[in-house]
Amino acid sequence: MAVIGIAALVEPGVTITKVGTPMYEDEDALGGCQTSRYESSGSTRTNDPIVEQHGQLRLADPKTLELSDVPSDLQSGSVWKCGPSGPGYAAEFLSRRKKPLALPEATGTPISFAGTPSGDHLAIVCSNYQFVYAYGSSGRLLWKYAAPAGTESWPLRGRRMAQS
Amino acid sequence: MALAWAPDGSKLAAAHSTGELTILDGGTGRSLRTLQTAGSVAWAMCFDAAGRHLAWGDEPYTKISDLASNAPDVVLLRGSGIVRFSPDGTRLLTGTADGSLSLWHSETGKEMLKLPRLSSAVANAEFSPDSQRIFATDMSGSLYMDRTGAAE
Repeated sequence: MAVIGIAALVEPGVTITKVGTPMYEDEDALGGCQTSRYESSGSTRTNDPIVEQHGQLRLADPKTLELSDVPSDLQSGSVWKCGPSGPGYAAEFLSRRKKPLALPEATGTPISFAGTPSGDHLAIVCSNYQFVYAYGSSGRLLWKYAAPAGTESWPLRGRRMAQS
Repeated sequence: MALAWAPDGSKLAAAHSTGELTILDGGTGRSLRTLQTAGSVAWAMCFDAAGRHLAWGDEPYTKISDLASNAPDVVLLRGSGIVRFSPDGTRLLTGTADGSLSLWHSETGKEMLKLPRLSSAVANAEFSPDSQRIFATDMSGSLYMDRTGAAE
């Protein structure tokens, strides 16, 4: 099991309050999220979204990753979630009030994900790799950016880091 | 693709599998600037607190680009899978898949501190809010902590 999310471990005053949560609670549920498995399988496991943010990742089930324990130096409650939403897959953004918001336009499995510390901005890339979608904290689509031609499926950073 | 926001949301960096790294206006999505890696994907990206500098991994190097000027990139003589600016912006912490952890002066690109190699790939790394300590974990779950040498 891997421990990630160091930001969540460091409180103001430099006190380690937690040693972290395993990224994967169940290796069997990992489903190809490590590079070794990814590469040996030779196929992209697009139903395993990886979410990365300033907190801890938890694999709630094979298709849902949740971010929790947002560090205290971030504004409270910036909780993000990527996972299935209705037919197919879409991303959900849980606002500071933890109300799920459907994100318009983005379809496919979210495969890359970033938010600002304040939680005011969210950007995702879905499995079709065609656009970068940017949303505000209300879930409103701010803009979308067409990826350059030739951008295609690629192992995620978390997988890459697990390589050696 | 990999994504990284400037902390204030003013910019978004998007690294593509083509090797391009596009800096987008966070408010409009307009492309502000395109950086080109040596061929690899810049998986490791991090803005400084002001959103002016972007550190990015470009095997076999790590670079720091000043997005507010055309100044040459600061080149760090090591690649990275993890990059983190210190909160005060004076240092950059890099971690690699072979467990190397390095602390750099972000303005000069000089390595400031030799750190013990972790037992496996660096999974994550972070500064304390006062920039005086660094924390890192490796894929085995070990937690590493050290001082940065910043003035207290």
